[in-house]
Amino acid sequence: MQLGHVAVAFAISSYAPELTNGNIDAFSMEAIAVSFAAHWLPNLDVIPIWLGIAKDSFHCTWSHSLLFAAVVALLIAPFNIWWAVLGLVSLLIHFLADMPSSVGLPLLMPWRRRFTINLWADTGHSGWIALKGTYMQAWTWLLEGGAFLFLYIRAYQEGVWPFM
Amino acid sequence: MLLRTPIIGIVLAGIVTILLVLLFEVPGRPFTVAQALGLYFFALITCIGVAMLFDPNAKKAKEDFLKINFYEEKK
Repeated sequence: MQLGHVAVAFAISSYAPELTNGNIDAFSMEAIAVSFAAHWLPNLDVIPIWLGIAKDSFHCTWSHSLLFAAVVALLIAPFNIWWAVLGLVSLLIHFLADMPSSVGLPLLMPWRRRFTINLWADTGHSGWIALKGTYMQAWTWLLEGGAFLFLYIRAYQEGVWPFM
Repeated sequence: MLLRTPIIGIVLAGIVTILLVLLFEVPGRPFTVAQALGLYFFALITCIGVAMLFDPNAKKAKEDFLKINFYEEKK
């Protein structure tokens, strides 16, 4: 998933009250910041690739594993337990959103077996070919469009922009 | 993309938009025309995806990309 991650992160922030026992408001700046930061964190594994420190094959490995999600949640928990919960959910949903890609995710790292739903072919980690190739395929339009549609309905239900 | 694909998407998006309005609209807070158009826009993106499932070009694109390994070692 590419642009759809934006909609998914916003949609997660709309469920902040349910996930945090009412401690964080839906679509609040806090909810959006935590959801976005955690949801996009796994994709920062492209930075060492861009810098030439890591190989292309580093993408979608450790940062897309349950171990990574658990470590991030445990690191945040001492500072704010509700951020940890929201962050953990955001990370797990990121993995779910990436699972339809043919490359699959090694969720059980260090065990390297990859899990995939295989709805669309992987087109690389970044760049124009990756973006263009993604949107030449049916399921990306269906699922990413569906994510934006879901977010739109959530915005209506919560009475936030553009439904104020 | 075949010509029929966007046409199917446009028609299907209209049906989906009507269904979503019927399902989710709160009586005291009806969708304005602009809001309904926004709903239609996002339904259209989704429904073009549905229509592309039956488009051989989209299927071929997937098959072509499946042949490429973007993560193999560069020599």
